[in-house]
Amino acid sequence: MRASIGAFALFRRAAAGGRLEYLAQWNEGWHAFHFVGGHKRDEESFRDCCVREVSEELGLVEGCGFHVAPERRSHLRYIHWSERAQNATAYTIELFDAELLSPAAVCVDSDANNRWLTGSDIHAGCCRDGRAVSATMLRILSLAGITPDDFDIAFRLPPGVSALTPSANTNCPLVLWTVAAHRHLRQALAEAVGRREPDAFINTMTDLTYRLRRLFPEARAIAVQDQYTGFRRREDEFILLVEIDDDHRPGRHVVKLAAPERLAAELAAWESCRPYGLRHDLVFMILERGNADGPLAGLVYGDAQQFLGDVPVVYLESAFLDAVLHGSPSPSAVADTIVQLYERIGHLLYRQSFVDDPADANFVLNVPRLEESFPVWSQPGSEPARARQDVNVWARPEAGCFRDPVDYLEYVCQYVPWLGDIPPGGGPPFTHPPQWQADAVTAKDLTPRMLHGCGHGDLHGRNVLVAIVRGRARWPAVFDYEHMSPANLLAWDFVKMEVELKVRAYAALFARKRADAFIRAVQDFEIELARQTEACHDGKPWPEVADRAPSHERLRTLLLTLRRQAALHLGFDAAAATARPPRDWLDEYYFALMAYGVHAGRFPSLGRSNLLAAYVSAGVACARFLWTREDHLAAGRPVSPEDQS
Amino acid sequence: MTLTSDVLQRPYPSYHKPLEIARAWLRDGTNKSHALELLTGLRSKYTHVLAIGNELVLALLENNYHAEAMTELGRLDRQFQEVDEETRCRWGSLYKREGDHAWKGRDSDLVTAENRFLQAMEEYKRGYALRHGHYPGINQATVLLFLAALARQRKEIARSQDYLRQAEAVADDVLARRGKGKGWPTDFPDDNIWHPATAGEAHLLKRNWSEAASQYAAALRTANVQPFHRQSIGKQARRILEALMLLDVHPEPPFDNPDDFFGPLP
Repeated sequence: MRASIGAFALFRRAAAGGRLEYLAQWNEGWHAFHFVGGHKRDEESFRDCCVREVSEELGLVEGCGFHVAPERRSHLRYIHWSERAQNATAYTIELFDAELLSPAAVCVDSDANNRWLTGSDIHAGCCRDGRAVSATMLRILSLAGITPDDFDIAFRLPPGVSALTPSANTNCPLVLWTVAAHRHLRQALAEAVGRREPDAFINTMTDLTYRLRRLFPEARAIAVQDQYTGFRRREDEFILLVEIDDDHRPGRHVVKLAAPERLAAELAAWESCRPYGLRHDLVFMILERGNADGPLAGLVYGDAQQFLGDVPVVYLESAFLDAVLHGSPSPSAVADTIVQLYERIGHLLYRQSFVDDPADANFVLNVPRLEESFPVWSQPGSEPARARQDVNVWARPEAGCFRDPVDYLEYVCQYVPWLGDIPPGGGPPFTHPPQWQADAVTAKDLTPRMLHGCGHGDLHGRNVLVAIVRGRARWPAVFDYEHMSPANLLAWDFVKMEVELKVRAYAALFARKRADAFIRAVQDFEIELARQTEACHDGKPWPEVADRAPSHERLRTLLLTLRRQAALHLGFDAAAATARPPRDWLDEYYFALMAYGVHAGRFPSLGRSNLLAAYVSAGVACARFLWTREDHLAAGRPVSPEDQS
Repeated sequence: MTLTSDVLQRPYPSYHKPLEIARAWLRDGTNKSHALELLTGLRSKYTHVLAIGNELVLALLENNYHAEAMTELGRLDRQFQEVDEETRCRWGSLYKREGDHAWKGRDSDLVTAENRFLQAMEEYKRGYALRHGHYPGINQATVLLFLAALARQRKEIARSQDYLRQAEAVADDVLARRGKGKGWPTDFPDDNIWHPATAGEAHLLKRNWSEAASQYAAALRTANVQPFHRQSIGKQARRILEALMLLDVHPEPPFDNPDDFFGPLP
């Protein structure tokens, strides 16, 4: 794959109204404005590259005309299609804070090729005079965790709009709320109505109605059919299934209404991974700006055309759980849906990946929200801490059966540099240095090689819709691209789906058991699942899902279907695209399962049995990952025999 | 750097290896104080692990820190609200051991002994409530008998009679559950010995001499009985007989000569 390595200078200044502006320069090759910077030469450091590029491009001398920060602000790696090279390219970029010194600033401003861009310019991809702004600027800022802050912070209703009703303005589309949508909105707002604002329901409905009219101004009518809340409903975010009657885009759409900056961030995330040339897709609901002008009022996930007519549409999670517990919809059809889903995502996204190898000198362990997850499980009296303690009491402790995942990940973080969370005020995450280097144990003994690249980042059973046709689940459709990134951990898309589905299935399958019996039932199930996965990893055929099998067996084979997809995309397909051996996927999968189980402790929506199940799952995965390593690690010796000689 | 601080300061992938080291030090008897130091460190590092707490209590006892052991046991009891029958029985046994220590020690302390027996009885009772297993059940009954004997020593006759009634009621309940539903649980290969031995103990406690003798005999003639079974059964029977004698009950044959029936003590 083509590689591009470079450094860019981040010059910022405060403009009128406290808004930030970013210095860009016209790039003749791209016909767009872009950061000042360029390709790194082999013999120079990233910072030297940045200083040289600024000197050449702006005609300034370091120290008199400008300063570049001694340390980088961000180190970014991602894969994207290069329009210029017409090739997928692996980018490695470092971003440096830079400052213009006062006499030089006047010279820079006087050159028409230089321009200070607002956040709106960068988001819109063009300046107010119509000249283009490179999309790479937004991609770099997003990946670096910097959100341009000068667009309109919140979309406000104009005075008097609260009185607007569907029939008050005949020039506007008629907006109708079905009983189900009405009921779901009321459920979602129950707390706000009860605790804070008695009029929250009517005000929100009026607000949403107004926003929908802005999204579909040409429509004759808009029918709000349902509301999707995912696992955690955000106060100011609404995801609606709407059916539009108009000449331009009739049919069903999923729309997201939220604060403009959130919508812009999701749009940027989608653009950062969107396969080149993709305009329509059956699995990915193509994301579009809801309104062409003004601050973003909403996003439209198009192409939900498979749901046209009166086909019932449900979350994949509902279809999965009903298939496991009741055998309807058909479990084998749910398995087919899972295959279709991952085959499509794999085809469009996962091929744009790279290997993060712990043997590399610059390796940094990058697991989502690790820093935030650790304390949750240790906070005295908290529900996760109680669940952790109970699992440690009741789970069988033998090697290969259970190892505490928080203990292990904390141990790893003592030896391996790891990426913390994005600080509350924004900015790049802090890399925690290793605290222990005395032993022969190295990062590659502790963590697997992991695939990063374009991934959904938040793929679970409530971000995928399926239709139910003749008792069979059909046509998976994915939405919610807020966490998409070219640097995502690909295994996350599989383990998140698996854990979120199975912890809910366990809670139903092993209901009415006491905590000890529940923990042991889940552990036994997990160990058997691991054994079967390992057997298939070693060449045994993956089992098919049988519709008439008992519910436990239906769950097991459906989860193995998902793992088979992981084996294909993280294993065989990745081996073809990268240098990683195909058998590495299982180590990576167990490691990711362990990390996700720990990550899940942050979710207040998980009930006690879900938490217990998530921790058992993480602990069994940890035990399987550690099984062949533990004795060596505990003795302070490297894991691979050749390293010991 | 000491042996202990070396283990404590070094990161481990899980608590299993350092706990294994501490257990080995405690069992071989040569590094008891190191084991205690290590377990104290592990307990504060891995607060969520019950197995470490249990081992720490043993280490405290082995190092003759009896009061500290009981304090730690109380702490574990409060922290780990939901534990299994085996753990309840282990805790009951530790309290019973401390009750014996206070009762039979050089300076017999009947108040402390009663408190410890009450704590033991509570643990066995909670263990019995989990699934009505014969092991916590018979131990609850036996501890109640000890409490009756102890009250008699303190000249608290009514209290003694009350404990005795409770002991017999629990023994009845244990015996009744043997033939009910699924019967007593079978967890170990030698439960074919422990089941009749438990029935013998319950009958002995109720002074049903002939039934007790017949159940004990059945236990002692099973094919897989080993010398330690005979010693353990005999030792427990002798303790019951001692308690009964404190209650002015004089055993009838064959329990008037336990050495003949169970074999001599080692």
